[in-house]
Amino acid sequence: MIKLDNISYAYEDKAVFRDFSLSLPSSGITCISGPSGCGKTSLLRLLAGLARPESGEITGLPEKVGIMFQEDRLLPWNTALKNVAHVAGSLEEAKVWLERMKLSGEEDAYPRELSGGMRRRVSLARALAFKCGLLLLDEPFKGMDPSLIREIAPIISNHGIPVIVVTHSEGEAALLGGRLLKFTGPPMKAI
Amino acid sequence: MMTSTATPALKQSKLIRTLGPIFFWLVIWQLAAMIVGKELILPSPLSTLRTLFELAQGREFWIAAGHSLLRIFCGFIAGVILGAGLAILTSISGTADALISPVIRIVRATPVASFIILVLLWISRFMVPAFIAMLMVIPVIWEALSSTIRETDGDLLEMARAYEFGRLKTLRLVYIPSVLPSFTSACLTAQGLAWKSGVAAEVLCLPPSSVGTELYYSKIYLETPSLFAWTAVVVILSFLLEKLCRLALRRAVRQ
Repeated sequence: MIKLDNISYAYEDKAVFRDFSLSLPSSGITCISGPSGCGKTSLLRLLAGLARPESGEITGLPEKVGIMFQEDRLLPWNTALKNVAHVAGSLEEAKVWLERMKLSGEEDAYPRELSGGMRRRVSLARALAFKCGLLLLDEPFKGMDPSLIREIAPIISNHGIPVIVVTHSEGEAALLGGRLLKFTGPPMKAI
Repeated sequence: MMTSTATPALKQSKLIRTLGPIFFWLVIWQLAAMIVGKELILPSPLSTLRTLFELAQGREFWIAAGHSLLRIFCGFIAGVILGAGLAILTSISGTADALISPVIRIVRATPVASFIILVLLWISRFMVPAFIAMLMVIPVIWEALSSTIRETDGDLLEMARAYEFGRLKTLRLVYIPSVLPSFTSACLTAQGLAWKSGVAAEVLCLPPSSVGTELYYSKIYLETPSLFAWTAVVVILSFLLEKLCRLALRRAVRQ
């Protein structure tokens, strides 16, 4: 179990967590849902180690945690293939991940040449290619059409490592399967 | 069919766009020279070209041009390396920034002539032009690089941290591509400055076999066509260095 014990954390002087405690399963898919600004992204940032709680502790995290950000954060000067390869370690593996994301033929395209949904899939391919013990995905299907989401969701579900997904859509959570946790806030509270 | 006719037309229009303004200003220069009517005050383009041609036939001309090019190029490269190094240092260390930034700002604001005279007291006159060129290049490169390093996209840096890129990989994949456009334009500005300050240093220090020394003697002996011809040499060499600079940077961008 990944445990957050009495976490307090503020972002831009706004209390996002106040003595917040939560247990997350360390296997399978966990979907996190809640209104905008309730603290879902901050929760992922704390789990990824990109932010530190002011008090409280997080235990049970694996050594390596991967994260797909809310923004695509692709290197604009590199092609889709290279963006994934920098993380995957080889061009061959990166190509396989792009194929899985239905991006065959777009390997040599630069992020500016891709649509929003395509960039999102490159970003997702990069996150899935990262070898880690826990994967955090912040709105992975943003900008994708429903038929594509139906094709890609099983790839995430069958990834083989614990995945925590932030989503606004209960439909997406249902497609991914696993547990759905609903929150409100800030400060973040479980519903 | 369309392409085969469009390409020569495009080439022709590019040629006109490049040569047209040059021709226009040569005509204006010629007219002005004809109105003034005194070679001593304003030699004509033809007389300048003739003098340049005569100078180019002597071995000394090539030695002087080569020496100046070498000195200024060395000063420029040293300035780029030092400016970039200082920009990295001031970006990662607040103490270094507090210490170095005011010095660079003073260097930028100080008249180049003051530095030339001062440096002439410290080092050999052979070295002064290269040193002055370096001194003028450092602030330009430092300013452009340190501000772009600070403005590097924080989201990309965080992504690099999340995917464990490490320092070298982050430098190669995030920092260098981010700063390359401003570094390129800073290099082009700096190389022009290197020429201006380097030749000014040569005029004041008179190292043997240099463009600046020849410019000085042209002034002393009132050989205005020669003065114009040597100035043309500086302009041509500056253009050549700029082309070389653009080529090297374009290759770096491609890589």
